[in-house]
Amino acid sequence: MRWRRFSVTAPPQASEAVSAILQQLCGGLSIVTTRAGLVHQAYTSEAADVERAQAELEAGLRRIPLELVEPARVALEADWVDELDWAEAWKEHYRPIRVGKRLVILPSWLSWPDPKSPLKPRPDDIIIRIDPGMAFGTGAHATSQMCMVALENYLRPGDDVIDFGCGSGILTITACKLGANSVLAIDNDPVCIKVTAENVVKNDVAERCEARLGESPAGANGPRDLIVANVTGQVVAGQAGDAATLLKPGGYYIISGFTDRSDNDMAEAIAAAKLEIADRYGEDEWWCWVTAKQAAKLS
Amino acid sequence: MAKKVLTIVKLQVPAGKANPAPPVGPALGQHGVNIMEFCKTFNERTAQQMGDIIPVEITVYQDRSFAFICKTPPAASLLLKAARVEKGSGEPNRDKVGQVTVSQVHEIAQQKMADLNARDLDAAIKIIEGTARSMGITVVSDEEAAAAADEAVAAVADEQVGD
Repeated sequence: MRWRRFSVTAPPQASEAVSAILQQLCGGLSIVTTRAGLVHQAYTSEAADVERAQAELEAGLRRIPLELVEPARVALEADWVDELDWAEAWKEHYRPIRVGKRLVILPSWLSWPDPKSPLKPRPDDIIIRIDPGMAFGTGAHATSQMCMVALENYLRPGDDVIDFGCGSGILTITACKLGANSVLAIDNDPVCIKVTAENVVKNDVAERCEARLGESPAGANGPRDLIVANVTGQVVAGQAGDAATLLKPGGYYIISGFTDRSDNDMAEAIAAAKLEIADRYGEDEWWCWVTAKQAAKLS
Repeated sequence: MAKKVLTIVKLQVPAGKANPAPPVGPALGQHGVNIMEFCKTFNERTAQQMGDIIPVEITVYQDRSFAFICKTPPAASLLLKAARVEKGSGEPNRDKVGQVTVSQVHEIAQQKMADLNARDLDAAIKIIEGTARSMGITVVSDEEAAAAADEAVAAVADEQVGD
């Protein structure tokens, strides 16, 4: 089956009128902003009377009042689009992602090894199952990946961890699978809390995790060995003091979500919290720093 | 989380009825957005507005996660409701399907102001008036509408006296 796609380019002031015409003919539309104006796209199945629909659309566009737009500024294009299984086709954007030495991020519909991927399995691979959705942290972003590498390098088995700004829970799951004793996952978005709670179950680590709605790690009880925060530069800097208070001596505050533009401010915030930069990872414009609380000195 | 926007997709979809067919599937699928999750959540959020067309703005982040916000119904839907008609005219210059008052146009312009990209309320009003005309909906003054309503009441009363 095929679909007839109508693309109507028009200036913004005519958008409501164009949308009304397409809505009446096709029952739904998408709008994309381009340099030429707004492109309104709507579809009709080839099983319908396509020629009549196109004629009605052309007539409708000609009747848009001059006070909204001159007819010459409205352009109609029509082409054919083959039917796809759109409910499944979007998944083709995803392949397994290898992060660090042992971590492999895998959506639920892929197997490991994936026949379409050049990645080869290793005996000590750790599989993190995450499906993309409404919570940040699919594993495709540099900041998530750098935090995962930092966790692989700095988390010690038995650590008590906080994942601040947990998103999908990808770092919570990574920490658990690397041997954390407990992880408190915090986010200010209820969607993320729900998604994290689901993902820790899917990854069989729920018994060591708690997902909690919150604006800051400050309310967490007990000293922690490691806090990871992949949020924004402003937030990770603002929370540095509380994080330092919550950390045990020798503990780590792993931070990401900031770029070259804010690394000076970040360095100041980290120094003010009496944390020391132990390691840095950079990719594209993004940074991930591992900062450490000084171990207590023996007197 | 460190969200950076990849793109923004705008759709107009019937409340409670999003599905992977066009326009949703092609618009979101090309960016790798989880279409079934969008449809499920959109349908849940808009279930109480069945029958309305909902403009929805989907923000796709660099890691292909997404968020969306539902906007006020399109001006055309608000105009149809205000005129109490089900659909616009196929021949708007010749066949008028209904009318709205200037006050109703002002109200709709105010309601849609944020979404219209108009520089001020007057510009928004012009857009709503033009959209009404393109649908075969006449814009009349409030006085004209009141006078027409009085005439209609009088006509009904005359008919009843005649009976």
